[in-house]
Amino acid sequence: MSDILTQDQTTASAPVSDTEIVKVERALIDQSAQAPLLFLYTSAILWLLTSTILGTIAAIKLQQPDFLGGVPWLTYGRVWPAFTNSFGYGWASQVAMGTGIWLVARLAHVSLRRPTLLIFGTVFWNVGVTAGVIAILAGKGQGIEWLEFPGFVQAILFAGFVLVGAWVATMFRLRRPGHAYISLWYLAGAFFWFAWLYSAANLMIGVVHVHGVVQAVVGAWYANNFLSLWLTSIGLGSIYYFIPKVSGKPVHSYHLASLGFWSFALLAGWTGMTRLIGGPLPAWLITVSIVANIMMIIPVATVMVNFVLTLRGNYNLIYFSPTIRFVFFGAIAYAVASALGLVSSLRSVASITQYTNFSIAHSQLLIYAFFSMVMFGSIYYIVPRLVGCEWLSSRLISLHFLGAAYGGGLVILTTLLGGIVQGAAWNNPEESSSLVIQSMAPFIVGRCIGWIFLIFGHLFFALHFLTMLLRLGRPSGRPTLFPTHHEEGAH
Amino acid sequence: MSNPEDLQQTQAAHEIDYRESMDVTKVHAAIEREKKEPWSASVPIPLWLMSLFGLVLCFGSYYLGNFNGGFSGDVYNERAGMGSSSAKKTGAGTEATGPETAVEAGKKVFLQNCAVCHQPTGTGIPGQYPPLVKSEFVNGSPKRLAMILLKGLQGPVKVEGVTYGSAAMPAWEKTLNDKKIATVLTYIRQEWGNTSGEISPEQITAARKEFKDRGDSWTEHDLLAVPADATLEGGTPAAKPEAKPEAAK
Amino acid sequence: MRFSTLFAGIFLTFALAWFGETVVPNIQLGNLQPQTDEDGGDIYPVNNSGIAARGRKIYVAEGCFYCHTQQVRGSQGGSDIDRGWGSRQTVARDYIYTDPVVLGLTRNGPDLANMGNTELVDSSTGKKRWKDAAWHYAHLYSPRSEVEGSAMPSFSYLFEKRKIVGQRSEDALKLEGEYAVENGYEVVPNSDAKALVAYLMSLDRSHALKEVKQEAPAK
Repeated sequence: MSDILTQDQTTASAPVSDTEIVKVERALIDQSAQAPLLFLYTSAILWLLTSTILGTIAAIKLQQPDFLGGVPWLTYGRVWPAFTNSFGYGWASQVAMGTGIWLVARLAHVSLRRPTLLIFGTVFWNVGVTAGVIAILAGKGQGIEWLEFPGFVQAILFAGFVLVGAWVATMFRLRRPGHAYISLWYLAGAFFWFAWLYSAANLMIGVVHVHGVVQAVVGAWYANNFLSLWLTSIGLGSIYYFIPKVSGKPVHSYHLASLGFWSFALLAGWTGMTRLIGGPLPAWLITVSIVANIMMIIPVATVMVNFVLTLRGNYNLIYFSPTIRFVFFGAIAYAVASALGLVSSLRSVASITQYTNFSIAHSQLLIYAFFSMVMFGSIYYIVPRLVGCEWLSSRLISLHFLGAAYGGGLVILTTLLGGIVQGAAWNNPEESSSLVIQSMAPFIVGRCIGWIFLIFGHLFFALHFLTMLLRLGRPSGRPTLFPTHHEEGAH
Repeated sequence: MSNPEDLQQTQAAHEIDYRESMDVTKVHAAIEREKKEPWSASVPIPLWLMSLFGLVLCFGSYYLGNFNGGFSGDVYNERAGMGSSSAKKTGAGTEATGPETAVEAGKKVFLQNCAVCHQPTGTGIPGQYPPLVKSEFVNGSPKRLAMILLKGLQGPVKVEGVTYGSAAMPAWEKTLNDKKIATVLTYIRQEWGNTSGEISPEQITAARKEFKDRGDSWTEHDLLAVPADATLEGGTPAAKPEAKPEAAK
Repeated sequence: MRFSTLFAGIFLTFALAWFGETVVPNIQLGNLQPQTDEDGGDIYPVNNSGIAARGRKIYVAEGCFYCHTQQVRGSQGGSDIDRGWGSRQTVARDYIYTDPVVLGLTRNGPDLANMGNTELVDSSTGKKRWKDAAWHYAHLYSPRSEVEGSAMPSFSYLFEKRKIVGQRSEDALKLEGEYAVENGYEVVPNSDAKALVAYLMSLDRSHALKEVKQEAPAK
């Protein structure tokens, strides 16, 4: 909370206005954040483009297996993990770190100290992801989902993250004493949890060498927590910041937020084994995860009630504020993703959806429709404050939104429905493998169309970002809003 | 404070400080129009939400209590021990029903140990593992066969005129007992069109004794040094005519 | 809330889940030994040896597990057994020598856990599911020649297309119709292809285990 206001209310005769001090503080923070944050965002967006291309190639290859065929580097079994890893580590993790850093700085009311820590961390991270993606394409993948990077790459990535994490810890120590705002809980959690998560998973699999299905258990635990305790946590923290910030209204209920955070922290780590329903695991392990998934209704419902009711009265912001449009889209997508996760974790539903594209669609809902959209919204808010000019064209933002929302929506929907059809077909003993595979074809064609939309959406976004990087944006005091109506002081 | 500064302040409200100077009194317009940092109101948790959570907790506890399989590492079916209506099919038990013949036992041993390389059809893999179908080693001397099984085989070997040699055959004397070696050899000698006699466990015991000092696996040369009609002690009388009662060198 | 409370909570909740979901399963399942019968024989499972072990590495390198699973669900979980993919649910003991454990996550293609088993019957065709090496080679080189409409990529780089010198090689693939090789040329698998096929044909997880029931397909 902005304690500076409460403190100075007692000295009514202060010559300099309280809000001036606050504004100066924010300007200092933004200025100090410029270099590391722009570096993180630029590398993240470059990886977004790379992974979009890899994802499109993978989608086309599922329908036209001879597309770019015969090239070992581009076989589906290598392009697919290259896509997921470049998207998850190259784009998602870096934009998470960037937005997380800015939020921590703003909410701690301290400007960035030691930006070199962050710059080095980003360099390590990018070197690691590049080496890792090349290694996967060369056939050196490790065979565990989300942990395919070879050992030395994992070490480089971890070193980079430690630098960033050390920075976050420093900021927490230096922060103004008093209550920490809701977002800070999620951010503190996310950075701490990812450090432990990444090191524990790699140590258990790579150093201690757990055997057999325990590898799958650790892998599922990691993959699930990567999405929930790292990315989702940052995403929720960001939504908790931007909705009240842009609308100027307080978060609906502190008590709900508190309940939401603690139930999330308690339960989210246990939900991983639903990826292995029906697999060679003892029944208790899977049941525990299913129960955790059911109980996740509690944090998801509280968080959604908070989001929706905080924005109450300001729903028109969705129409003309790019930040709120992307962020609120993400919030709704989070609810949808959680609902799907809950339903598919029940064993009776899982007998159809397990081992199908349904699980892929669910992950994509979380990592794209929820997390990436929230991050797009945060970039649209933060970057003008870093470069000192406004976004060039609301039409470009609009095109980005269309590409991302419709493209992403099409990809996810076709993958989801295709997965259900696939699962039902595999469960039908009369249907031969050949027929099952052919029944998927129309869904994959739809998926490819969605990917084309995504390519265009991301390209427009990247070009727009480039103009801002070159300080070619609009030199104006008014923010770039969607052209419905203009309201003074909307941002 | 002086007039030009005031003017610049108001201009700054709508302009950007491109000079990016350290003079932060000229804050740029985005900061200027920002609302205050987020804070939260103190609305209590609604009753309907609490009731929903209570229901969720109840259902979760019920599910955990019912399907936990005793938290044992050996229970893979969450419906185990829940009454016969939920257990779907009961297939064949894990124990063998009734006594089985040497051939049946041998087939099991073969499928578990040998089929990996020699294939369930006994055809091997061209260039890698020799076939057992119509193989002169399988259908020939029991002694040569026992040698191969007990100590293993290294180096190239010619079977049916074709040379195989990239993979070595491991020794089985430690993994398989006499009975198992005898039954598997019996099995391969009369499966897939082979029609040779059976081999008894006593013969394998004799072979084991004979070669107990041999450490390395054999080469083809060693095998061919043993006469093609060499037999092992302890052969059954119903064996084919080549099995002579005396053991050859 | 106070920062010390926050940090303690963040630490403890994660520690609890980490312990319960990774350490406890490792204690329960991390040291499983192969099952043996009373005489110490009939050991199951045994580790892949020879080129089958190398074949598993190629299976991982080519990312086969992104489209194929290697786990059979029990009848309470799906129709895997009815399809003829296995005679029982696969359990932890089946995988003690599989490193990395290639359980797979998506079934863009059929399950492979029992690809080397000769007894199982494919429910949709009524024929035995087992395929010989020649089928595997043809399928890897040109998947659509064996499975109509297959989305599997063609692993032609695991093979060598060369001019026939003298006699046709014994290893040469027999492809017909529109997939046939032109006159004077033959396609021969290289050592990677042979290792991969040896691995695929070694996959058999139907051996009876005490902790799980054998099941028969519903007819």
